[in-house]
Amino acid sequence: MSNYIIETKDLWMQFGSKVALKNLNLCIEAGGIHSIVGSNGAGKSTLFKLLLGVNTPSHGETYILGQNSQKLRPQDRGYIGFVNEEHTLPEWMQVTTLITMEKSFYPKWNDSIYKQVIGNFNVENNQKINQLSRGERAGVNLASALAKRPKVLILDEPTLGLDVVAKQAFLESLLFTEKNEDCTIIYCSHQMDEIERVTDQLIIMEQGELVSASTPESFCEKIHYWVVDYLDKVPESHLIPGFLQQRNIEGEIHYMVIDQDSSLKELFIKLGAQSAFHSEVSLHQAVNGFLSRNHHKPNAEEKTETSHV
Amino acid sequence: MFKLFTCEWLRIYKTIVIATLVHFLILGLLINFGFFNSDSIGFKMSLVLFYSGCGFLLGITQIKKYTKPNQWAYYINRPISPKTIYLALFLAAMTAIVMVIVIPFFIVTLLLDSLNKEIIDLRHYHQLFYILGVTLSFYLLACYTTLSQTTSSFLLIMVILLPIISINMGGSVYWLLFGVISVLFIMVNSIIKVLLNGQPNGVLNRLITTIAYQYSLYFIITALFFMLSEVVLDISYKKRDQSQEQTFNSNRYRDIIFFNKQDTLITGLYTENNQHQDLIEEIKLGQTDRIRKRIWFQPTQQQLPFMDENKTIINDSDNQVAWQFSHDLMLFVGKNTNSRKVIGYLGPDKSFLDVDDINNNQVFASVPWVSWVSKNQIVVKNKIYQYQYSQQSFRLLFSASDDEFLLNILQSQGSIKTIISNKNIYVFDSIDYDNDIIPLQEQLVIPLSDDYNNLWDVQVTEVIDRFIISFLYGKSTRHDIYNAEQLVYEFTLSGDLILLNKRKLEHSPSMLIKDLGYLLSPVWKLALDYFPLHPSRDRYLEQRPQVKKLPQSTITTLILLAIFYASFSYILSKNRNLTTSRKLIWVALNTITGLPGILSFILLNPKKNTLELKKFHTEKQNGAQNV
Repeated sequence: MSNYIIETKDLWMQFGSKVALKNLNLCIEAGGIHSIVGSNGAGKSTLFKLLLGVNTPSHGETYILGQNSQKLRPQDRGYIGFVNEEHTLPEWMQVTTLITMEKSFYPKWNDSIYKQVIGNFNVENNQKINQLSRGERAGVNLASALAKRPKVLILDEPTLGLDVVAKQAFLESLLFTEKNEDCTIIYCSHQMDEIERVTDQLIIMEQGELVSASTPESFCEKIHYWVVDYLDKVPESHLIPGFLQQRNIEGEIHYMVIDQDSSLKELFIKLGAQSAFHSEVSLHQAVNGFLSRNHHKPNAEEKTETSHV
Repeated sequence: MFKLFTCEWLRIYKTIVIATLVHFLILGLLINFGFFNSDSIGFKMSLVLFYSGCGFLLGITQIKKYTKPNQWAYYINRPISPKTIYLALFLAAMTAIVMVIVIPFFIVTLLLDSLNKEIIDLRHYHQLFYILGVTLSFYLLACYTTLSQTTSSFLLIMVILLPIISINMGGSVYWLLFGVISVLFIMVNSIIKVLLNGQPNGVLNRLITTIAYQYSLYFIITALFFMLSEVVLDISYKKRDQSQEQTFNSNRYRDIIFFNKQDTLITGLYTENNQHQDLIEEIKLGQTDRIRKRIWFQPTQQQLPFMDENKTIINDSDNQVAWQFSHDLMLFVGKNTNSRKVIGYLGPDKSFLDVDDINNNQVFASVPWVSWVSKNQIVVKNKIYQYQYSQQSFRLLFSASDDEFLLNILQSQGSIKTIISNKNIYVFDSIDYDNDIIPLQEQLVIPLSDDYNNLWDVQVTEVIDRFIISFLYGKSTRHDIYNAEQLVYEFTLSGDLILLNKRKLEHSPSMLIKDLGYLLSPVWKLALDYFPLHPSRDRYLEQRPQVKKLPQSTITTLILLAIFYASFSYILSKNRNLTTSRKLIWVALNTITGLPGILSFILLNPKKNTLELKKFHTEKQNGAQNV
């Protein structure tokens, strides 16, 4: 029996010749909001399906609530909430009928949580699900998922396609629950502003592999932003230690590097820089820079042609 | 579960209401145009297939909706088992089938019964269970194919077609249908789990799925081989020289069955020294007739209406009465064709005005078979009755012994009349019939020298002062216990019977593949040959105790094939994600189940996908740095 609420061991997932997850070893402790980010095809949704047991791994094991995902009993599933980006609900039902049905499955159903969360959305009880807007649907989905009082709630891009107001209501509901309920939330999104606001732990996945797991603050501390003005030729990127990304903006080279201290300025000067300034990065910039390190490594010729951003 | 059932019901109730109304409309049209209770077996089959299609469509649309990845994750991720979820869906579907198909059919049947529009027996109500069963079995097949997400699952259609094509089953068809539904339900239930990969869980479930697959594959493979052999035969037949002399010399059964009736008879007289040449010339001048078998299956009481070969109705237009047989009463019920009112009842010996006046000895002992050629003759097992229009009653034309059953009504061949039974051909003088000397007394009895199932055709020709009759055997290939031969006799009405010629015929190549079943799968061949049918309809019952003795060459081939099947299964199992014990069970099983066993093994056990993992482990072993 594992102490982690979610754990994967040597996890591989292959679809034909395509590898979706590659030797993933991930441990998530109970409590808090854990955000999983990564570019498209990083394997996030595949991971969730494996955690829920609806897919079987090519190799390795997944555990959720200490149970092997492949051997989850119905009573274990009662403690797992799942909200996907489509906000799947039986759209032919009225909200009130749906909630009555859901209540019947969950003895620990908490009506006050449901009312509290649904209060943030403008939903009438007698409305049919297919008459609800995307935001309202997301509200019903989240409210019912939280009212079940799950021990772990998996949210797979839940705010995709929501307007600002709905997104705000959704996040507030999430934060309210996290504070008041003993629930671990696994949150997957491409919206860095949302993640910055709610997350306790940031997990970054890339091409099926786990590449970083830390708090957002410590992750941001590792990423540095330098604006360098070269007198002459821009040096090749492999000469910059911890290089992640570079951009040419109005003649100045903007670097993003990882795990470097202020001594990097001396190196820039050595490489022919006229000036080099260090600045802080937002989580959005840090993650973006981090994820683009494999995609954006221009050579010396390309650098001069890089379009201004 | 009830809540999920309600949820599903809420989803489909509008469609159900519309479909029910449409079904009522269709049934109304069928009654209006006289198709409901039609005597056309093609129509009845089409109706059953239509309901089957509805069941299949329901299954596909229902399960596809829930097995979309996000939908599945939504429904499955709750504290109830997937089997309970499916049970709710299944019950909703069954309710839908009852509402849309069974209830309208029942109401229409009840209406026809109470309005006396048709003779409605208990079997017409039994039909409702049959329709429900067939529709449900197609629904379950659709569920299975959708849930297993494999194209090969469509092969199982062979299993559910069995209760539809088995019109020779009689009452046993209910048990067969029940068996098919049970097997399919178990199969669906065994793959309904969180992980939809089509793999059944549990040893018994795996066994049942394997049996269903192998049964289907065995039938498909043997049918393909048979069709292929027929194509080869047709090609070789077309290439043969069609000259007259060679045709009459032919000793190939396959050639002779395509001859016209006179040529067939003449071929039966062929000898090397042409000793019957004069007789052949005589035959060429005369007219040759056939004695035909018409009753393929003896009708059974309360058999499903769609199993009726033709409608048991005698139309007496002189008296404006239609006599239709009732399985409930075992009597013909007469209705006035204008008023539709019941005017009386007809037993084998006399007619009655009131059904209460009839005792059990006055009804028919078996269900009659009414000829579509001569609508006033009926065959009741070993007896032929003729309807008398003037008296509105039956008279006994002929009665064979009790252990026989007749295969047709009285047939006319010039100056003689004949009746064929499963054991004899009875020959009568036409003058007796014309002079109304009834019951008919046979002039001659010609015993069938081989099983009647093996009899392809009988030809008879009248020549000067005698008759020539030819029997062509070789029709049945079952059990390989029948000969292919031709026997020609001459007979007179004074009772003389002389065998003129007997020719052994060559079995065609399709007969040579008679051991193919054993070679493909010894277990399946034996299991299906000895599958119990309804005793009254099992045409091969008499032959069953004769277990076929296989030739030494076939036994040797069987042993070699068993070794091949076992080795091939072992090689295949290496590339499958199976435990050692399961691999060994498969190898052992495929040794006796043969080709269907191997194919089912391939279909039910997908190949391992280890390409990238292997690379990774190789890298790891080489000390490469990983994540």
